[in-house]
Amino acid sequence: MAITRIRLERPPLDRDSVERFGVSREEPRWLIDQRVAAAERYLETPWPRTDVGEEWRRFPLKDVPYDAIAEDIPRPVPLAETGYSVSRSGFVNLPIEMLWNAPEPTPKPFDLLRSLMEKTDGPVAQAAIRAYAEAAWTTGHFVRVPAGLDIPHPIEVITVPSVSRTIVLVERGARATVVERLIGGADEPQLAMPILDVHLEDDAVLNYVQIQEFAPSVWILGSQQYRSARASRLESFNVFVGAHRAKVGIGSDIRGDGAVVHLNGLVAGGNDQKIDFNVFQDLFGSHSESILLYLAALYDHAKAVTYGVIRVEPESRATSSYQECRNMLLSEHAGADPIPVLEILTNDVLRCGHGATAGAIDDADLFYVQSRGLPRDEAERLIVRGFFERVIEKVADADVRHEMLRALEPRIGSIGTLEAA
Amino acid sequence: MATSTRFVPVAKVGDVAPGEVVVIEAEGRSLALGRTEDGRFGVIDNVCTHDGGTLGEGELEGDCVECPRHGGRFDIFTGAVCALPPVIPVTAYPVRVADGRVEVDLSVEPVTEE
Amino acid sequence: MTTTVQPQLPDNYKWGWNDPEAEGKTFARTPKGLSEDVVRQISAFKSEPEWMTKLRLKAYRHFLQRSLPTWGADLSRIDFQDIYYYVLASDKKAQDWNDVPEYVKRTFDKLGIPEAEQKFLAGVGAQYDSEVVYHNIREDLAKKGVIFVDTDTALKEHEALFRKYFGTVIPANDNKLAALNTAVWSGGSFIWVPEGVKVDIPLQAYFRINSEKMGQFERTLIICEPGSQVHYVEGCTAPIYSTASLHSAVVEIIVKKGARCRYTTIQNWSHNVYNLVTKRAVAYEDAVMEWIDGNLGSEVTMKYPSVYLMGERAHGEILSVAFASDGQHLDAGGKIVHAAPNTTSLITSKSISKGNGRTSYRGLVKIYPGMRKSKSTVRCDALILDKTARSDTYPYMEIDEEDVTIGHEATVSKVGEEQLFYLMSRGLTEQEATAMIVNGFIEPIVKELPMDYAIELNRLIQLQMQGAIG
Repeated sequence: MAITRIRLERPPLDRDSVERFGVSREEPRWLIDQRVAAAERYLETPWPRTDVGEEWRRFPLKDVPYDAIAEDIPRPVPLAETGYSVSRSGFVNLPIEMLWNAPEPTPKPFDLLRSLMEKTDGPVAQAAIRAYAEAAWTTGHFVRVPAGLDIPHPIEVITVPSVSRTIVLVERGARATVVERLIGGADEPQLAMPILDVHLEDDAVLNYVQIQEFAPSVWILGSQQYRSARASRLESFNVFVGAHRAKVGIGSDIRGDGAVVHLNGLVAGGNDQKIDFNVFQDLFGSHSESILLYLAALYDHAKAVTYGVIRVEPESRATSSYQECRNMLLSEHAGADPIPVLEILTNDVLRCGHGATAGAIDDADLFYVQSRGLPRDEAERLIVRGFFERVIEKVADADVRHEMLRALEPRIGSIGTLEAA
Repeated sequence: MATSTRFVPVAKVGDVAPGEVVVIEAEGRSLALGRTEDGRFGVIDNVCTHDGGTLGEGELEGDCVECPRHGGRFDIFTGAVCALPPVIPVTAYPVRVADGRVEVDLSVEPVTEE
Repeated sequence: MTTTVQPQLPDNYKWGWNDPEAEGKTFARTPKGLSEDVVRQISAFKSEPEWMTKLRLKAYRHFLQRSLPTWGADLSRIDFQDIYYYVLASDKKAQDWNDVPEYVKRTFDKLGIPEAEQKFLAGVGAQYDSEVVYHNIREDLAKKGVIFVDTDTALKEHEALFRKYFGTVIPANDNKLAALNTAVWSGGSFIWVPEGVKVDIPLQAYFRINSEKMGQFERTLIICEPGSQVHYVEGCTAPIYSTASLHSAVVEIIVKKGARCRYTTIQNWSHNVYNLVTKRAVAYEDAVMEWIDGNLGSEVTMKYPSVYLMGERAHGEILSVAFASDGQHLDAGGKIVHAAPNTTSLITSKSISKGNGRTSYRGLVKIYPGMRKSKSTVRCDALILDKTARSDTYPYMEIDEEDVTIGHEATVSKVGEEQLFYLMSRGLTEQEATAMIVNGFIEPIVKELPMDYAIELNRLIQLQMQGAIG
């Protein structure tokens, strides 16, 4: 039986169904109002087009399955069974949708979450996607690390294909590692919209690792926005393996002086994946640092597009910024379009630049490794593993490193005993 | 080494005047059929390898059809590039005229863009 | 229209002035603005063959349909109807120095080309108000069979050759400004170098806009037969006046198997000119194409010399220098397309911005599938001299072949404090020290220029540094 698919040009949404949805979930009034405001904003915001601006030029917008938006509406489960945490110190790690059903933890996470959710900034190229997600999200996580707390073990959250919001708040002087795993998906094409918001207060330190292993039928339209206050430090890692087509917008807004932001990416693409990132590193504060390092290994017919903009604002002073995008092409039909852009509006910079490369494994490197007795495909795996090491070694926690390598294994293979614990 | 040819009628001789080029469809393929001033027929793929323009909607001058989008030109008989900005040739198909019909050999595989 | 205030130039600055006798001495021109009639008139003035007239009209119609680019510099102030598209300064082409009108000779005097030197030079086509009034070909070049004439003459005397190549590298429909140029082009150089011939002296030409609201639409076509070699130097200059002016040239170059071509430009239009140029070359097997592009003047420049590498082992190189001071936006760079295996390319860009000037590097490296073993390196460095200045880098890479090596690096910096301190402690003023650092910064490109140009470029930069210009 043939099913006729309706050809939509953007995700369908209307104000009233958003209102009804919120009411049916017994959400607080402020949240329903927020959803409706987002829906109105969505309806006024033009959907991206490939012929307007650079960010969407290389992405097949017309093929996105707008009629198959992944829905994950969790069934109600008692909090005790979920394994999530709320502690007296104020540490919170909860699915957002359970927050108002949970017993009241301290101190007032609702108000906190509410004020965080009111921030609607994010990568401009993803404005319509964010507005949709802010209206129609069904799942999400809220992780709050209260001031001064140092959480030694990684906090893991799991996100399935859905319209989801993950919000991470690391308060003044706190430290944490958050690992978000994106897994799941059916055989049929589905559209997932994972939205991430990270808020770092003064002196906060966060390692955020996202491991994306969605099923091969999933399409991703995502957004990540990082906000850094004075002297905060962020190490963000995007490990990208799954999904069929992905377009992720990443924004880093450094307002505070002396903040450090490192945006790292490991992309292992195969089959006919199209993985497309647009990144915006915006520097306002003085003596702050924003470094991007994205490494891609591309197999089969995969293609990676990285459009990254560093903007050094006129009021900033003595900033350091760099963007590095390296693409290793491992098959005849793989391709890469690295486009690092600089917009520098002051000369008061300590360091500013970018570098990009694309190409096959260096013949000399391959020869050297093979001459040690390894067959060609193992030699290749070893070299790719070495290529990725630059990013892997920046992850302090061994378990997290292990997780990243495990996720990459289906593409880049395993090196057995060469994996250092 | 001869692979078997497969000539398929696509138009009547009178459908295309000398100096004209038109878009034709044959077995799901979009092609540009041109007729030079001296009456000969040539058939190439309809999609310009530069930016996807529709060659059959362009103009035929001499042996070359001009893409309406940026002016690139292709030889209507060989598919070779006559003028930039395209650099990759388009697929050309053998053509013959039989009984007042124009026939195109569709055994030729087009060079597919991914 | 705004008036640009221009300070007094020092007397020894030879490149920009307004010749009082020349002002108003234009003998024939089309009515202001652009229309099908104007296009026909231009073609009629030149007694062109019908195919060229038809091509001009077709290009004009295409020009009307296209829009200006939305990226790059701000072009909103251009009023296409506020320009004279064709002006003829003298009603015959002089074959002999004596026939050249007095005020045109004075122009050459001011350019620093005394009569004797004129005769010595390989051949000079001087563009004066859109029409070449003086032209001379050196005897031994003529003996070798080199053709170096203005483009109008080429159309008349070498029609078949001209028609074979004209518009094959940059067709009329390529972009709005190429369409405009194809409709109203006049003047420019046509060079054809026969197989195996190497031209040792750089062929030069000078341009000058000497009429208010004068647009320059020269069209240059260079063909290098297999194994040949030529270096063409284009240096333009413009006097200072107060209303916007448009310079929209097209340069097409074909470098056949084993041939080498170098095209050098130092552009120093006055600061109210819009300089929007399309320059493109094709290089075949074992050929080498080099663009050397110096951008100093104009209010707005948008220019991206390109090389299409069409045959194995072809090599393309683009060296670009841009210096933007107050009120200027120089958006330049280059484009290389690898359309054959084993091809190589190198783009080196040095930009400097001062005051509230803005430089942008905009480039593309494109590798088509199957073009194995290609290598490309892009290096862009920007020096921002003042807090208020701006520099951008927009490098595009489209890599669709695995077996290649592509690299791109860019840096943005200011003048180093220690460097400055060191030079000043040796008795230089801050300005002198900065000028020296700037000259060092652009040295890799300046050393590729012919001597005269290198000296002139350094002097112009000195003047820019002193704030004497703009």
